[in-house]
Formats: sequence, C-alpha cells, structure tokens
Amino acid sequence: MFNMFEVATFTIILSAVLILYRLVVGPFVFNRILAVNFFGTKTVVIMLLVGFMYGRPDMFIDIAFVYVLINFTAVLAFLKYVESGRFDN
Amino acid sequence: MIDVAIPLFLVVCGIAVLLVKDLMSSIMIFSVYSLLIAIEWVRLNAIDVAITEAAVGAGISTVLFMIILSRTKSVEECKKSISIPALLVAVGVAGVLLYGSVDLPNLRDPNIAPSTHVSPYYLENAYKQTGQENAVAAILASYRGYDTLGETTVVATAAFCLILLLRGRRHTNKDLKKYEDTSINKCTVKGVGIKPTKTSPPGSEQDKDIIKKTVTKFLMPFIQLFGLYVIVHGELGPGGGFQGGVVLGVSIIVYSLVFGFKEAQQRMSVKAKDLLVSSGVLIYGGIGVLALFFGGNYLQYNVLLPDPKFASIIGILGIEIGVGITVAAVMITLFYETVRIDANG
Repeated sequence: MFNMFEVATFTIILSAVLILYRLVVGPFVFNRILAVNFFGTKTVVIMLLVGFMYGRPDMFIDIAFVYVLINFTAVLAFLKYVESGRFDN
Repeated sequence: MIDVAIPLFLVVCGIAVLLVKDLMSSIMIFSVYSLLIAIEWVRLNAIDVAITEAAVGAGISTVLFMIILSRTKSVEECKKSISIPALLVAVGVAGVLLYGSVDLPNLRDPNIAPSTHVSPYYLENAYKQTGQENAVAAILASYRGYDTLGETTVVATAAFCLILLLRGRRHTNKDLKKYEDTSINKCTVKGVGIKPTKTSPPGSEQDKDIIKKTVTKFLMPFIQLFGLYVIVHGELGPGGGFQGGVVLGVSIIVYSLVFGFKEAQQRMSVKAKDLLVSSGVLIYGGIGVLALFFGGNYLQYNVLLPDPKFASIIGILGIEIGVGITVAAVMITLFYETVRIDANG
C-alpha cells in the first residue's frame, strides 16, 4: 500500500513530465521561462516530500528556502535579458 | 519512482541542451538540469551538497551564463557538422564510463567501502571532539580545516585575477566599434520581437517595474537574514560558510537585476566589496594565528578559550563567518566585473 507522500510525489513527477515537454519543445522563449519557474516550484515540493519520507522535514526546509530564492534570481535574470538584452543598466 | 524518473529527466535535459538552437534556451534547460541533479543529491541524503548545488549550480552560474550571453549572440550561425574523430572520442569516453559504472557498489549496501572505511570514525568522534552536531561541518572546518583555508584562498585569488583581468582594461574607440559590430545588445531570441503595445499614459513609464521592485524590497531583508542563518546554522544543520555566502551574494545580485546596476553600486560599492574579499580570508587565517598565540597549533580551536568544547564551537563559527564573507564578496565580484566591462570604457 502506498502512503500519501508517495502518491503525491508520483503526481508531481507526472506533472513534471508535461512541463519538461514544454521546456524542450516550447516554441517561444516565454514558454521556457515559465517552464523553468514551474520546475523550480516542483523541485521544492519534491524535496519537501522526500524530507517527509525520510522523517526529518526540518533539514529539508532549509534547502527548499534556498531553492525558492535562487530560482527567483534565475528567472529574474532571464526576464532582464529578454527585456533589455543587457545587465549594466 | 523518483529513482527512475529523475535520471530519465536528466538524460532528456542533457540531449535537449545540445539540440536546442539558441543558447538562451540551452541555458534554461541547463538550469533545470541543475535542479534535477539537486533532487538526486537530496534523494541520496547529501543535504549539504544539495544546498550547494542549489545555490551555485541553479542560481549563480545561470545568471553568469546570461551575462556572458548578453555579450555575444544568442543564435548559432554556422551549420552544425559532425566531426568523425570527435564523435569517436566522445563515444569512446562514454563507453569507458559506462563500463566503469558496472563496478560501482550498490549504494544501499552497508558493507561498501565508503560506509565502512573512514566515515564511521567521523560519525562517532565528530561530536565528542569538535562539538559540532553536523558531521559535515566538523569535517570541513575542523578535521580538514587546512583544506578549507586553501579553498577559501583559491576562491579569493580567482576573484583577484578577475579584477586584474577585467578592471584594468580601458577600451579604445576601436574596441567599442568592434562590440557594436558584433551586435552584443541585439536580442534575437524567438518570440522576443513581440513588444507589448503601449497603452499606459505618458509619465507612468517609471512605474512599469513596480511589482518587481516592491516584492524585492520586501524580500531583501529576508534573503540576507536567511543567508546569515545558513552561515551560523552550519554546525547544526545543512549549510555553512560557502552556501550562506552565496545566498548573501545573490541578494545583491537580485538587487542589481531589479533596481539597476548603478543603484546596486550605491548599496555595495566596488571598493567595499574588494575589501570584503580579502577580509574574509584574513579572519580565517587570523583565527589560525590566534591559536598559535594561545599555545596551540595553527587552527587548533580548543585552546582559544578555557572551555575547550565551547572554544572549538566559537572557533569554527568564526571561520564559517570568514568563509561566508569571502564567498559573498567573490560572488558579487563575479557579477560586477563581468557586467562592468562596457561601463568602464
């Protein structure tokens, strides 16, 4: 019998497949930006679920925080490049 | 389930990075690749490595790739042709690696060499000898303290080399014209050409970034507080000087991305950042020298205070702070110096 966390992980990985398709195929750059952002969110959730499965979520929340912050930065950099094409303004 | 899906995603991402035509998409897929690798680290219970991969792989390197991209072109011009010798070498290396992976031990087997050889010693003695609850921090800061000092110095030296290479350059008009010819600022990514029609009245132009700016303004103290927490908390949980330093550096980079490069330089000037690069290494080395004055060996923390265990904790905290300052300043250096090339000329 599966427990709740395993079912949740399974579901999120299924949705990650769809996002991966959009990331690889995605005709426009905006599809990809959104896909990267989505994937960051999914990663955070998967990490927390793994943390619950290992029985020590407190450690994994630290990493989840770093991921949220870092993914935010990466997406900001993509958007800045798309907007102006340069970083020194 | 995770064990099958994540490696499969990794392979898909790896192939996609090569096949995608424009470089920006490659960078994006590569940042997702980095996220996936970090899930693998979490799965293997290597939390400290996962947090490093998160901070460096997915964050800083993506931003740096984007900066480099803003100085070149985004789309490949020449047609790809397959070179037969290169293909043979690549296939050969892949074959050798696959052959080697057959002999890798099963990670869940408790009798493999990594689980029986050195790690039991650290796991048993780390807390007793250094007072660190996180064995990784104990190994990094105490058992392998000299190595970490070396690493911090190497990171600082890399930053100095970057400063020497890029800052001294004065651009002549000819150089600038060369840049214009290669059309650095021309953004040729597909889909970017669609500019939104301007419906806002004149005067509201300044406020187009208002959501981004407000969110960042509120987020900034929390990012920096979290960076400090990761540095200080290294002895109890995952993290430490390197990871916390990267988070601190990222906070300035976010500020620069949102508020502009000039504004960021008013918050963290180039001169202050240069001083911080070396002062972090000085703190680390200084604690080592301090231990010499108290009659111990270099970097022997437990002589610093009357209570050896407390002294060890304080000493390790001190060097974590030193590492954090250096790494944060180096990350800002990487960003500033690569962005600044034009502004300097």
